[in-house]
Formats: sequence, structure tokens, C-alpha cells
Amino acid sequence: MAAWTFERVAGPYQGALCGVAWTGSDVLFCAETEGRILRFMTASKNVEDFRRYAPRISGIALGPGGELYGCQEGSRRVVEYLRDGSTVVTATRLDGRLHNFPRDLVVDRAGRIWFADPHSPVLALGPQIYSTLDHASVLIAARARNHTWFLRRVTYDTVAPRSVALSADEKTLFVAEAGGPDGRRSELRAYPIQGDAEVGQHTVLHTFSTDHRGVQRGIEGMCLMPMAILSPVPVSANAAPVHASTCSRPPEPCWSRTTFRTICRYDARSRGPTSTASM
Amino acid sequence: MDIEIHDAAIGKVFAPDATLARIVTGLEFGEGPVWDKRRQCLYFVDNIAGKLCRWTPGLGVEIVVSPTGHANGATLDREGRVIVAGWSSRTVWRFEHDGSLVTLASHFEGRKLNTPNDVIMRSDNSIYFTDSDGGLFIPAMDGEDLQRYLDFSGVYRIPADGGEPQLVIRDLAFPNGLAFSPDESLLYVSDTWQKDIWVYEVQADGGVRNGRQFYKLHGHEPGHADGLKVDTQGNVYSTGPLGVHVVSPGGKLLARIKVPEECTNMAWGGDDWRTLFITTFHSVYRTHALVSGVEVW
Repeated sequence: MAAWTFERVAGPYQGALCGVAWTGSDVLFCAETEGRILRFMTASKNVEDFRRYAPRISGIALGPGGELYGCQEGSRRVVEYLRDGSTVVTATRLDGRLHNFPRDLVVDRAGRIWFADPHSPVLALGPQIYSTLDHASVLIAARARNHTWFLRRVTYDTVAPRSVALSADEKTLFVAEAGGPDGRRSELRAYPIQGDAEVGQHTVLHTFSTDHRGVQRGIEGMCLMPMAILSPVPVSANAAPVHASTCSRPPEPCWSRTTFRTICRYDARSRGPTSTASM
Repeated sequence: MDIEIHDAAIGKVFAPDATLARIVTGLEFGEGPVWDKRRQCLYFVDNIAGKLCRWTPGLGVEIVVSPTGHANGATLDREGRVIVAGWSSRTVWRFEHDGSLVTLASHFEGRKLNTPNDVIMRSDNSIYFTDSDGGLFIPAMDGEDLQRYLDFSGVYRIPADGGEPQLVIRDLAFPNGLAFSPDESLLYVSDTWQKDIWVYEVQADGGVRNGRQFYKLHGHEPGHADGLKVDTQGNVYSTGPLGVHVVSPGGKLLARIKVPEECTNMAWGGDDWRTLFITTFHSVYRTHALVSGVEVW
């Protein structure tokens, strides 16, 4: 049981911080309530606006060419933030129907976007015109030969997918399935990827339980650790949840995504006595 | 027609036996109604479907322009050309008689507009439009570029001889519908986020001053401060909770007209300009008033 130490490097901000991504030199993270994507520059330790006016931005992820994608949950779409400062939409309709509220995403080496598409208790932005899908699944957005985006459904047994990750060999899809008021427990699932983005039956890697703090909330976000071990995310209760690290093959340190209003750095080399979370 | 009466003066606006009829349905998001007195038809848009349509009594609906970039509010100029608040296209554009489209405004001080929402024309041929940012975040209204660049949602004026848009109001949260008083001395603008209507004095140079809250929307039923129109008596008509709110020139609520769907905008029209057309998410309705509306060119 290793001790974790956290160092606040940015914040606090209004509301919860959401998506986080490592660019190779800096950390991008999202202040959902403020509608901003910010950049923590590791060299200078300064924080600057990376993108303003990003309403209800949740998960973000980089593609193989450095493309930045984001889940604009309240707008029910996955977008790409282009280097010229513009923002373009990917695909929004599955079999002609608008998908749900994308929350987290990961991009594979082929540039396909795997994203969790749960329902949401919070209404979409603007007038309520469209109903949601009758399922909450993991979807893939991929480009056709003419470069237009299209959607495909990946999971058929999820009820509330919240976060996704791919194994280093991209043969396993990890899905954080949220619990529910009907007694469903939050789970960490592993789906074998078969063929062209189809998945087989899942294995439950961890089921979240109840302790003296109440029902454990489960996973909010996750990523792979350098040695291809999924960074589990267990320390999450009903009170002050701390969630998965989100570092895609960084050398070190590892960046921790939290639902606090700050962004913290976990340094594996200096496991000091102060432990705010344990694994 | 079901009317929730707040002041007996509404009796001079609508007869007790006035009816509300649905004339078009099946839309994804109706908006932008404007009556063309030359063709005796109603233009309107299906915003999400990206269509500019024309409804002609006895003939029905035909599509005039598609795709439109999720066009929103519309009006006519003095030559009978449709002028459109382009919403997701982030422009104000004009539909020429030869079928071509001409961009009238796309940027302010070098930055892309947000998403032009509604548009009106003054008798001096200047054009006023609202530029809220809703088209940048509302689901299914995606344009080519979803990034916002301006730090405010303005109301602009395009001079009669064209040129760059001039910012006339910059401190509203979500400017949406707009309309002039019958003598064009006042400009009314609805603010969707603030759920109210503001009124401004129009100056000789086309600018405005002395803005003040004119009316705060009444009720908590579904409906928003969206479209805005005025009749020749100076009464102001706004979409809002329950349907259409009729407000006296002094800012007093006279009545709320109950409409079965959430309303988006209105237009006066018909032979005597006493027909009030109402667009909703999925339909177009009409009713008849005892007063005439302010004519469109």
C-alpha cells in the first residue's frame, strides 16, 4: 500500500474540474463550470487559457497526431479543437438519432474516438428538442473514406458508462460503469476487443461497495500507468471522491484527475508521509 | 383560442371567439416567420432541418432554400428579398430574387459573429440583428465552426448602404427577438437568459440609448423570451411561458395566449395584417386579431 502525496498546481476554480490530458510537455484540463480548457505548463508552472467558451466540457483526449478532442456533454457532441482556434463537430447521430451526453473518451492509434455516452440528470443546453437514445453505451466515432465522421455502437450491456480507457495493445476496452439507485454497483469492466471495434463479454475487474462513508461512487476517469497497468480508481466514496489518474504513457510524474476544484500532481518518487489517498 | 386574461384591454386586441389553427406541422424547429405581401405567402424556416420554406394559402409548403446553415429569424427588405439571421452559418444573408445568397455581415472588428438570431429592417433600409451565442452550443444546431470569439452577445446595425455592422447594444446576456415601435422611435429586444424585454430610444444616427427593462416574463410554464413583434397600437407580443404574451405599450401584461407547443417566433400578415402567425418547435399556427400588426416591407 503506497502512500500518495498531492501537490496543488492549479486552482481552485469554480465547480468541478473534469477532463485532463497530457500533451507530452503540458497538462490540459477542463473547468467545466467556467467553460474553459486550461493549460498547466510544467516548465514555468504557469496556467493559461488554452480554449475559452467550451461549454460543459467534460473529458478530453489527444489523438495519435496530437489532435485534441473533447466531450461537450451539454451540447451532446464530441468535438475537435483545431490548432487554428476553431472547433468542429464529429458525428452526432447514431442511426439517425442524436446520441446522449458524451462524458469521457479515448482515441486509438487509428484515430477512432471511443466515448462513454451515458444519460444525464442535467438537461442539455438550450431548448429540449431531442430525446435521448433508449440505451447508454460506449460508442465509436470514426472517419469514413471521405473523411466524414460516423458513429457505431460498441457496448450493448452498459447502463451508465462513465469513463473509458484502452489497454496499451488496444485489445482491451476498460469501461467504468456507474452504479444507480436501483442497487446497481459501480464496476470497472474489461471488454476484449474483437475484430473491427466489436467487443466480447466483459469481465468485472472491480465492484465498488459500501463502507463507513457510504456507497462508493466508483470511477470518474481513468488511464493507463506507464507499465500498462490500469490505474484503478478505487478511492471514491460519497464524500470527497478522488478518481483515476489520467496520464497516457507519461514518463512521470502522473497527473491525478479529481472532482476537487484543483488539479494535483502525484509524484511517485516522493511518497511522503502525507497520504490523501491510497491504493 | 384559450387566452389567460390579465387586463380587460385585451378585449380590443382579440375577440372572445378568436381561434387558433395549426397550418403547418412536422417541423424539427420552426422559426423565422415573415409575411410577403407581394406573393401573399409566409416564409419561415425549419432551423434544425436547414430549410427556408414558403407557405401559401391553398397551396401549402414548398422549400425555397436548403441547406441554410440552420437559418433562424427572417425579415424582408423593401425589394421583397428575404433577409435571414443565419444562426449557425454565423452570418446575416439575403436571398436574392435570382436565387443566389449574399452575405451582409459575418464579422465584427475582425472576429466571427456568434450566431445571428433574429433580424428586422428599419424604414431607412438599415438592418438590425441580434447575435446571441446559442447556435454554438445547442445540440443539433452545429455549424462549421463552433468556437466563440466575441466576448459579448450584441445587437448590431448594418447601415443602409452596407458596410461593417455597428454594435448598438452589448450588455444583454442573450439578445434574441427584436422589434421597433410603430413609429420606430423605440427598439424592443428580448433577453432569453434574463427572461425579460428591454426597450431603448432610437437615436437619429441609428444608435440607441436609455435602455430599461420593459417587461419581465410572467409564469413558469415551458416557453422563453424568443420572438418579438409589435402591433400598430404599440402592443408588444413576446413568446414566453405558456405561449404568447401580449403587453401594453406601458409594459403591462394584457394576456397570455395559450399555444399547444413551445413558441419560437411570430409574424403579422394576411391581407389586412391582422393575422398573427406563430411558429413553434414543430408547427406553425395562426390566429386573427382585432388590430393590425406593423407591416413588413
